[in-house]
Amino acid sequence: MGNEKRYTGIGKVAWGYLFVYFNLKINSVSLLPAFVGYLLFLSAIGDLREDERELELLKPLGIILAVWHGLNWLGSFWNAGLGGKWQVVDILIGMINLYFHFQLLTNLASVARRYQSERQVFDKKLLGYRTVQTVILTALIVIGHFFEWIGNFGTVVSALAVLVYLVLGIALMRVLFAFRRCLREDRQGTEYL
Amino acid sequence: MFDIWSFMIQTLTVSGAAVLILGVKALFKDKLPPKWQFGVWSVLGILMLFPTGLGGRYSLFRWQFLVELLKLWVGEYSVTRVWFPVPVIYKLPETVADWMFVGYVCGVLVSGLRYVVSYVKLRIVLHMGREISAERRERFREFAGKYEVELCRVIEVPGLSGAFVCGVLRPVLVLPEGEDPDDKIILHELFHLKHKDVLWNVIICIFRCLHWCNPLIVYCANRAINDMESRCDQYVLEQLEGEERREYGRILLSMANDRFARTSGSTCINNGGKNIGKRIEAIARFKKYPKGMGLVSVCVLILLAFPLVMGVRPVVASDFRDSVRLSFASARSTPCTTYGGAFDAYAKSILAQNGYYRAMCASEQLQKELFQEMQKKEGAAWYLPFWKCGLIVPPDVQKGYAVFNLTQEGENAYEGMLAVMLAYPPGPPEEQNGDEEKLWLAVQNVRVEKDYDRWVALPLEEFRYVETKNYSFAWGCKELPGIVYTGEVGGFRIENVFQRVHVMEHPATIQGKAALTFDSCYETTPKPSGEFTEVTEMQYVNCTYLGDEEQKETITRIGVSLAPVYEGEAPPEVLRMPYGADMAGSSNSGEQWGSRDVKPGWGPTVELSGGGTVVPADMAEELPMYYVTELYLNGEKVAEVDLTLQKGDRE
Repeated sequence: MGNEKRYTGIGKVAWGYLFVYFNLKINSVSLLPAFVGYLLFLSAIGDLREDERELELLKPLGIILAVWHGLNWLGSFWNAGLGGKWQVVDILIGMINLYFHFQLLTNLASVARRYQSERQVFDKKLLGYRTVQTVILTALIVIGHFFEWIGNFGTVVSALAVLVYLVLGIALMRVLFAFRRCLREDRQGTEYL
Repeated sequence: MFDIWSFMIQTLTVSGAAVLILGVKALFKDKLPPKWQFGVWSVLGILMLFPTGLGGRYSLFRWQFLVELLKLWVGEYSVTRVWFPVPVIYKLPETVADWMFVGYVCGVLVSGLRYVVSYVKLRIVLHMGREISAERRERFREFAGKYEVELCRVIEVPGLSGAFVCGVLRPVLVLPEGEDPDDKIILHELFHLKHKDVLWNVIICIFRCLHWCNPLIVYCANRAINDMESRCDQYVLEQLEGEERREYGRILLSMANDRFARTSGSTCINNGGKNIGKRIEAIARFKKYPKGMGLVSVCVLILLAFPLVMGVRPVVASDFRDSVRLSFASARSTPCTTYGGAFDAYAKSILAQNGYYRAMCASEQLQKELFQEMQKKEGAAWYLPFWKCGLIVPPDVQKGYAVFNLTQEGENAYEGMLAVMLAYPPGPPEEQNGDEEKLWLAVQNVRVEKDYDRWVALPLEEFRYVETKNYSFAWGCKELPGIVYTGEVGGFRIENVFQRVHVMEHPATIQGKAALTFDSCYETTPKPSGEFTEVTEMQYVNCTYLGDEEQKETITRIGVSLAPVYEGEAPPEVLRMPYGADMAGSSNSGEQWGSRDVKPGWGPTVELSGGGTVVPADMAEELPMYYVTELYLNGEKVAEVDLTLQKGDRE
């Protein structure tokens, strides 16, 4: 597999997280729709599949998430989001989302392990962020179930968790872009040779 | 479970969850490890142990609706509750439904007995076995130690085709006599021993017995046992390399003896010929899962378990227009889970004159009568969902409702006076004289009490009609009674009338039909889990002169100052002094002070002060114990008195 594809794939994942993590809105319509992020992830899976065969397993899940977020985004134009309407769908999307990001970052860490230099620790950072992300996503959903009992305390805890989640998003993108830079340097090195 | 209906709700809820779990398992078949594939059944197990529908909650689908519909079809109006996940017969059967429940309980006993017989048969066979030699046992002990498993008793039994573990408290590893089973088979059984799979097997058998007539649950129980085997296969495969793994698959294929395949209280590697094929497929998919897989497995499990076990509260009952049965079933399956919710549903059943809303908060005794009343109107759809709420003229829906003087009566009951505005005066047209200033309220004392896990509303009287000058309930209503604190001093009876008005919601501003216009609209859909949002506390002080006329003529100014004293609090040392003529004041803490100049021939009652405040409902304090009060005559403090609660005045 060419470094070019790897470079492009990692870049797409990094930009994808921008759309997934950040949610700038005008009224209820998001300017950074999450479905774009998932389309970028799907495209990145195509680019990186030769490096990580396991990534292929994420494709159906990525499609489900892209369609779900796409419909949600379209619905937001009419103030009709899909979240919270059907318990079954909410449960499934929550689980798929959790697994998708866990596996994606695990596979990216595996790619990083192979292509980073000895001094770099992109893989360890990605695995660390993956763990924090998994715990926060789970905690946010669980807190949601207790809201009617814990009231204001839940709001404070959720706000803190969201804050950590956003910081995590920035850190994650930073590592991915740094890894991509490292691949670029490698690519330029190859060209010079 | 005390009747067939509660069993139906329980088994339907579990079935819904089972379908979801099967779907999730299919989705994550090649993604999450066999340990998770088995562990996910624990969610179903928890759900089976957890009485469904508690607090009106439901999982995934409102199964209560289907059951209530069925009950209405057969003319059963009792409220269905699941208290206990195990069936209990507590009365002699009377109806067909009772007999069906007896049939179901017999089925549970028969299936349980079948497992017991099968287990006893197995124990008899094991009785013929003998301990293995000390040398062989030592070899097994060393082998088990390598995998950190504590070896149990090992016996050889003639006539068996494979090894298995039997017994929960004192497990025994059983080997076929005269054979030396492959180490991989022994390893598989040792992993069963390590993970206490015999116990899991027994639990699964109990669940299978409890839901014996539900093929989906029986299927899931079989799947769970197969997943348990696949999990042990995974543990074994993780210890093996290349050719050995294929060899393990070949050993599994060669086993087709089902003799003790699903005996409760044992584990057997050959769990049925049909299932072995699926396990071979799993072996073909074998891979070592990355580090950290345990975390995501647990998190995915939590995301599945929490919503299923905790369920959601029903939000709103659906109105199926022409079908009384469907609408009534929907209302009955949307019980009020808070006392505020019960007041809201009752009040809105009055405002909207909607019989279905009344069913949400009606007692069990009223359900039949209400359903029959509604059913009489089924031929005239335009007349639905109207019910005779007892008002002689329609209410003014847009004004909403308020509950006056709400008090807690014991642990699980509240009483208050429900008030709604009327659309026009209740008297005959000739008595109305076109006086548009006249407004009328309909009031009724209502008790709301907890009936097991739902709140029901019980009107304590017929509606009474009260003329008022208030256009809204925002600041109480002087024409309605309050909670009265009273005391006598210095020839005066001082009364502090305290009124609390509980409100759940105000009319909402919504977009009008024309662009950029807005309307005010009162939402008449009940909130069965609603809570009162705010409380208006209104109070005013009256002084009534009780002394002789001679002394009365000497009084030119009357003033009072009072402050509430709550339980456990000390009374304030200083009260505000009412000064000047015709003044009044109040504070957020409930203090009041006022003074009024009186002219000859006044009285005998003088209103002195008044005030009020709005607080969030959850901040509303208990009623004061008493009011410490000072009486001022002609600008001088003449006496002090404590105003105490006058019992029974609310009525």
